[in-house]
Amino acid sequence: MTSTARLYTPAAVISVLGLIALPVGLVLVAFAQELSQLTATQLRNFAAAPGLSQATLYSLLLAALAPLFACYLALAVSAGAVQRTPVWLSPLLSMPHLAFAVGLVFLFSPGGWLVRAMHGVSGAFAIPPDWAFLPERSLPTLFTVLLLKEVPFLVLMIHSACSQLPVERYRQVGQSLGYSRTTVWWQVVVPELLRRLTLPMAAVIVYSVSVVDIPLLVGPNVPGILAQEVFSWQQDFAPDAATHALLGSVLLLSLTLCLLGLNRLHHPFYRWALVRVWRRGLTAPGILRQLGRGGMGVARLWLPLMVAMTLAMLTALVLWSMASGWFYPQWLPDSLSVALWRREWGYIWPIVWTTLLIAIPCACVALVAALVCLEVQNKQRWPQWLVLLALLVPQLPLVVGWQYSASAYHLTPHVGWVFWAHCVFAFPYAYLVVAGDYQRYDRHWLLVGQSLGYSPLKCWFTLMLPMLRRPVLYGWVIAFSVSVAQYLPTQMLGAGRVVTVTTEAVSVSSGGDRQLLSFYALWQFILPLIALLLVAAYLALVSRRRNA
Amino acid sequence: MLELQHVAIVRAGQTLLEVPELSVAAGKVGMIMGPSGSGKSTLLLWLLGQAPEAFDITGSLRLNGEPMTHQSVSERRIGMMFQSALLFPHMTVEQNLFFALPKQSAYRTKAARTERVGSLLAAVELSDKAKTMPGTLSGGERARIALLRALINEPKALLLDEPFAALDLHRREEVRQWTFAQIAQWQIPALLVSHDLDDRPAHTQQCGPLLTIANGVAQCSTHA
Repeated sequence: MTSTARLYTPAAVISVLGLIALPVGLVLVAFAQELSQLTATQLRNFAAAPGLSQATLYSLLLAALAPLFACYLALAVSAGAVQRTPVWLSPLLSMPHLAFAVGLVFLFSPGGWLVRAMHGVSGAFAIPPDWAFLPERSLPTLFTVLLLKEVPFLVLMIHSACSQLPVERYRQVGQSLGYSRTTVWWQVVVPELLRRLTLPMAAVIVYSVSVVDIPLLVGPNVPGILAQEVFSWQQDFAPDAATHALLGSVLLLSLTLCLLGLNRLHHPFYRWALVRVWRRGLTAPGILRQLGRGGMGVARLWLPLMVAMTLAMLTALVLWSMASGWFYPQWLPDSLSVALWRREWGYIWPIVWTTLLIAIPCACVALVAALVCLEVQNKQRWPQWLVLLALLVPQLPLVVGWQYSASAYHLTPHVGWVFWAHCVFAFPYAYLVVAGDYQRYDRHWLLVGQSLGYSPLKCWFTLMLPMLRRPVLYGWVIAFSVSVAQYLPTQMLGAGRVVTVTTEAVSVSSGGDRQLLSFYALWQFILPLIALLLVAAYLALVSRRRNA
Repeated sequence: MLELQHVAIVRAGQTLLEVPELSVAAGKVGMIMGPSGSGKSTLLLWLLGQAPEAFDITGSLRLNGEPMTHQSVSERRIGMMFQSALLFPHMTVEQNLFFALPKQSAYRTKAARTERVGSLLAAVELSDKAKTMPGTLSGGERARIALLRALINEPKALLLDEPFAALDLHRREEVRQWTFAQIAQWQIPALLVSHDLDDRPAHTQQCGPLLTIANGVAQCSTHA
């Protein structure tokens, strides 16, 4: 065993035990114990719970369709260029879902900026319409948030998968046979990509099934989606609530398993459909082709649209947080003031501090664990699903299981548990961001370094790490952003004693005070943005020094 | 002197390559030729100390009479050049050479290091490239800096895995002759893997043994 392997293997074992085996193992044990004490009456009561079937249907629709649409949009976006990972991905990835959802509502809700702008231009909508664009709380709004927010992640995964395929050769061969680049993309490259996207798609599906903070803000209520209902049962002190939460978690897990099964069939189904089309010599009807061309055009506009939308969201959040009186249908606030900022500053500062105290070390732990696992994977072929297990198990049952374990072992809520839970969820994202470049790295460089007399560890630090500076630092930013955005583990394992900008933003959202909500959503937006800007500035400085 | 004895490369129970004996004297260039997949590059990696895990390799390697078989890559002090120059892209040309200077040597002070690197770059007429990033160099310049980097480390032997294959015909001949001149000047044994018999040194007195691989057996002969 080399000195590097002697160092990496124990670190990898600690990472796997602490961030994969322990969290999943605890849940399995806790659920087994709790389920063994159930009675038939409790099961009947759960089945008769009001809104259960509707909530399940909502979850099923949401988690089946939003990832699917996001997948094809990401494929269409990536059809243009896959040679290098776009630099704009990291800013879009690092933006927390919650801040994105709040921003989207401020732009497209019936009382949002777009409707106000239309009133200003045409005089329409003298009162906020019921139907316009995205209602403040509805399944379509939740669907739109999840769809738009998952596209950057899937684009990143597509770029990573494309680096393992001779995409340009496929296109050249296809074009020499008379096919367009777009046809070659959808008929030759995409079937290969879909197979490689099974795991990232599974992660997106699992997230869509179990997300709670976004539905609490923009999702339907009474009933909400299943995860929302389970969360509210878990927070409730009614006699049946705990059993409902347990059985709801099991139902959520079963739903996830069904969707993951369907996800596995996605790639073979696409191939099967494609072969049928080829065999029969079918061509799409004219209108469908027109729609396809239109769709590709929209996909090409996706980046500028997303950038424009993100900037508009940021502006809307800033304006709302400073608005003193901004009534419909005014295009801009009556006046701007920093009164809210001044009033809330003393309160938010400790919350920001707590958020940073958890997120900064959490991102470091997640990144180190990801690097260690990637290094060990280079020698020993660990299956990737094992490393990504925390992404493949719905967050809500996982956290509910940890709560049961904590109560079984008489562990009091503590910031330490929150930190550990954040690490569990940040680690797979850090891994996914770094993995593509890490696995593509030409290890002959390390061999050259060693042949010059340096130890493998020294070569790793002086050669590999500086060469992978960009993905490693972006991996840190994404892990930091994931930690900042954690709601469920913070709320449930911290039992309200650990308050971060995310838990506070969700908490103030129920009050309906737009000004206060925008203030906290802005902070949730700003923290990862600052981290991202610092990393981007550092990388620019290094690049400038190198080119000087 | 680089000496190999009874080397066998086995993969999944099947012998891929056997080399009964091979020795290359200081300043000479031994050459290995054989079809793709015959184990040439695997043999070089084993000599370097990093045999791929899928292979089971036995045999002995001695450098200047000293057994090397059980030493790690960093302990062996064998220089290596691949088809790609593999200059470290985050370091300037000068920093690539600084990195390669032996640690326990006379070049501990910055002045001594700068002088050594400067004089070597001047000798190969690349002084103006000292502060340049590798990405801006031509293929021929990259190959020459890569060789210089391997040589400045004062290796006991040099392994060349098709180092000229990526160069165009014009530069190929120029870099090839320059490389062999450096090997003769530094007086180290070198082993070259190539598909092209034209890659052997032009002066027959610099030619080491020629190892031809056919059907998994290496036959050693002197260059014609």
